[in-house]
Amino acid sequence: MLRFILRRLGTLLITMLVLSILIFILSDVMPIEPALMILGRESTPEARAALTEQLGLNKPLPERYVAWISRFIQGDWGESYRMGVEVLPLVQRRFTNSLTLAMMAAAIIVPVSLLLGIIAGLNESRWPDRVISIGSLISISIPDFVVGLVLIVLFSWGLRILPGDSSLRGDTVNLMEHWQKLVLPAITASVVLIGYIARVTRVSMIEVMDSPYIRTAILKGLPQRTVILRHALRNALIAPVAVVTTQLAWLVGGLIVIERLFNYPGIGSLFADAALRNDLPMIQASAMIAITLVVLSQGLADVIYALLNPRIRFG
Amino acid sequence: MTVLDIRHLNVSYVSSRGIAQAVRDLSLTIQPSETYGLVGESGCGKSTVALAIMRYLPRRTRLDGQILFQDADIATAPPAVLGQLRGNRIAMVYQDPQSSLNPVLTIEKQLVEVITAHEGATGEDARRRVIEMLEQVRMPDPAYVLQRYPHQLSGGMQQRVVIAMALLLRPDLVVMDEPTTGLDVTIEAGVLDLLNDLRREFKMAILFISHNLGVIARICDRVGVMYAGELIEEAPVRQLFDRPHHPYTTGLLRCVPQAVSRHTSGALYSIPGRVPPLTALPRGCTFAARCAFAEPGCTQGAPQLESVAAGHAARCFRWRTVIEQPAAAPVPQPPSTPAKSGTSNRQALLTVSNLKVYFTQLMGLLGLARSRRIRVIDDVSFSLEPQRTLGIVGESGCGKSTIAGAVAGLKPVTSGRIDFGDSDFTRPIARRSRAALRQMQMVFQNSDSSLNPRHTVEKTLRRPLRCFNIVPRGHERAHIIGLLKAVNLDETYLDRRPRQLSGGEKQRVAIARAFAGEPQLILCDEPISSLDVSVQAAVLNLLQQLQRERRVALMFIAHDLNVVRYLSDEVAVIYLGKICEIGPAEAIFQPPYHPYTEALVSAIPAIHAGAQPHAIRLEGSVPSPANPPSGCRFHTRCPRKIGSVCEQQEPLGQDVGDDHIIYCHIPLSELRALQTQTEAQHTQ
Ligand SMILES: Nc1ncnc2c1ncn2[C@@H]1O[C@H](COP(=O)(O)OP(=O)(O)OP(=O)(O)O)[C@@H](O)[C@H]1O
Ligand code: SF4
Ligand code: SF4
Ligand SMILES: [Mg+2]
Repeated sequence: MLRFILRRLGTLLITMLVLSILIFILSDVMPIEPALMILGRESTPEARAALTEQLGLNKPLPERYVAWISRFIQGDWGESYRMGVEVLPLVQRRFTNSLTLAMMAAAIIVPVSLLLGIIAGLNESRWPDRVISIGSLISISIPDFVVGLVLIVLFSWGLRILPGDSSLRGDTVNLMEHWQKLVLPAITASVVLIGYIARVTRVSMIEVMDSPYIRTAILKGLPQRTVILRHALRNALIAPVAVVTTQLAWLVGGLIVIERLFNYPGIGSLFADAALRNDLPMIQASAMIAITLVVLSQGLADVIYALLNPRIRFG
Repeated sequence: MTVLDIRHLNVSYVSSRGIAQAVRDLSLTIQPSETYGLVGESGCGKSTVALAIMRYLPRRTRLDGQILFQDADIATAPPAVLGQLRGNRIAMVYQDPQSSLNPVLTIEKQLVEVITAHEGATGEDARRRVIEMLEQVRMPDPAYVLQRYPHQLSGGMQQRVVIAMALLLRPDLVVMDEPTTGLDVTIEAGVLDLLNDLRREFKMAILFISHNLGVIARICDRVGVMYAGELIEEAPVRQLFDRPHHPYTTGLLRCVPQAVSRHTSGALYSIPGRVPPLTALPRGCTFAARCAFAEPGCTQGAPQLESVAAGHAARCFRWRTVIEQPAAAPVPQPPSTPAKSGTSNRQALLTVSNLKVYFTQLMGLLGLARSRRIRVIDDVSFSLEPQRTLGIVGESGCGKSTIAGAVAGLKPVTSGRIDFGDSDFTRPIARRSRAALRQMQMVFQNSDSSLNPRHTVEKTLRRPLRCFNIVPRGHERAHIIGLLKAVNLDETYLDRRPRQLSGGEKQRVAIARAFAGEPQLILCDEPISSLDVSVQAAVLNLLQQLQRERRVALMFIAHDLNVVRYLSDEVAVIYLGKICEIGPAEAIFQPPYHPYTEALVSAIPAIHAGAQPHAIRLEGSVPSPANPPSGCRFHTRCPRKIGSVCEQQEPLGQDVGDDHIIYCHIPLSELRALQTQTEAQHTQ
């Protein structure tokens, strides 16, 4: 198993390296002139040339890539063109915020969706399945800002039990202190994924319950509890777990709308701004964060998948 | 005391397409220590009977009648009673052991839990009993096997695990549904031997379901034949096979190619038509539409199961006539293929020389670290003359399909040459000329994956016509209908799509497509293995008829030796990528054999007791071609191995005469002596 993980880690590192080269090349061909961006339109061409020189931007591409990536790895992520602050600490703060929100959402999504999916799958085409299937279909088709608005109207304006504005003073989230502020955005973020994952789980559960090895288990005379808990569950979870882990990466990225809606200082809103304002270091940082997240969660998915599935582990 | 007593069982599946009466008014009994066989074509309701006995049926199924087992009526027993019986007093063994075992649990967990569930024993005690049982099913190294997951065991071992699981608590009745179907003949023979021993040791009753009459003959005491949900004949096994009273049984028996060649026996018998839809059964005798003995009265009233002799019953009005008329003697055919030419005057159509197909498997990080070569085909040579048939046999994993793949240009050739007519066919399909491509067509085992599910039959057949410009556009349709006629389908099939066809019909369309391009050679890779015997016979007849009319050569790959023997002029026996024996078909199936051929021949389940070949059994399964044994590749399993020379030196070919070559270190005279001796012992 350790070898499996190490091998996976190796593959992950190489993937990330390749992607980082891609990102660098892409950001290089973007029509952005950093010196102009930093010095403004009134600056003289000479001053801009000097700054370009100083930033090392006229060196050949491979050289600049090496310089950039080594600084990046050492934690020097440059300065935002637009905000004039260090990128790294800002990103770190915002990232923690988003991650906290995502974790909270995940804590809702995973148990709820798996449970619903399993219940539906075990009761195929009986009423619990019908209710859950229709519910999840609805939850998938409603855009998340609509869900958010409804929740705000309901709980914040109507019942007045939860805040609709989740902005934080000083940009740092403290779970203990601010949990009320996280509830509504977390639920909003969960709704779509719960529907989606519940559906995957349901199908997977139905397939497994229909499989010859479940027939074997039942015809061995095992109690139903054992058949489900020991024989069906682990097989049925293989597919949804793969989905869950890949979707969680998407969740962090997908928070942009929700963070905007609730005024929550997460990384999504930060990057949205950066992209709109051609803030190159910020864009690079955001892209790197995004791929790291995707690649890491893919790796995590692989490991969990292998843990559940001996066919992968023992080849 | 009767173990199982089924009385007037009816099972119907309810679905949107209607009510399928899968089992109708079926009564049968099984005595202690008796093995009762159930045969019939696919869809006749055999598995439904098995599942009814286990009371494992889909929710919307109607079940009535009685299934008396000990004190209980399974048909009405509450879940608690069922839970106590299943796995404990009644156990089941299924087809396809791989999918019947849970992929994520170790063998130990899956076996021990049976004891835990029924007797509460756990830990060392249960484990000891499990190991004992694995030993009884002749499992090598049980302690090791316990720690494995199902996918880490071979097919034969998996089936032994499933059998051990069924026998753990010494049940009174074991229901086996096609327990050896899908296994290689050699493995099948081993499992059948085991079952034969176990049923004596354990004195249990067995309900044994199979569509293979040879398997039934080898293991059962009494047999019931099912047709369209009904039991149509029941008799002690020998009596059923020697004196069948129902036309369906007679037909089934005659469909099976016996150990003969087509040159002596003529076309195979095949039952026309097929099982009627169970949602709309005809009035009267359900077999009437396919029955050669039918008369108007047969469709008026339904025949009842009638006693025709002691312990022998048949459901036919006219059984007296049926037994009077001996099965019509087969019509010997004019030899369909030209006799083999003298060595020089005819040019071979296909020549394969020193063919090697190696695959490279990448291992380690992104495949950078290591790679290993897998020698799937290692130095194989043979040739095939126009209009003749070459059969290729061997266990699965021996490389049969890879040879066909290489000849067809679908698998890259590592070295060696393939010549087809005047063209060099060593290169892959993309680089062969269109004219050359037209000359060679393929028929695969699984026509499901080779026919495009979205294309109608007409479109499927039109493509090769267009592609190779066989007929002018205006005449295509007529030509396609002609092709369909040739494979015994009519124009109503033109607009059907694959999912609207039965297995046999799909295979016929695939054959029609292969013949559409008017090729000189057709490669058939297990074209009939997934079909029922009656359909198999029809497809085999069709192939030889078309071969005769359209003058093509066939390369025919199959694992069923009788089928290969029946159809082939020459046979090549392949083991782990090498030819062990090659020569004229008649010569291959007589001593002297290569020891591997001998084992294959002896594994064939034969219908008639007299024809039971002597028992040579192979242990284990084919080793991995990534790491083939040294010397003679067969030495790890060879029952006749003579010593270290087999491990060290690759045997050279010994010429038996008539282009019959055996690759073995044992001198021919000695082989012949050994093998005639064993055969004599076993026929005594
Ligand atoms: N769950 C089901 N719903 C509807 N029809 C079914 C169902 N299972 C089987 N059938 C139908 O019942 C009939 C009998 O099927 P069954 O599986 O018992 O045949 P079988 O004799 O075991 O065939 P085979 O040799 O192919 O295993 C077939 O026509 C089949 O299509
Ligand atoms: S009853 Fe008539 S149709 Fe049916 S099997 Fe007998 S002879 Fe044939
Ligand atoms: S060479 Fe030896 S091992 Fe190989 S088949 Fe002959 S006797 Fe058996
Ligand atoms: Mg069946």
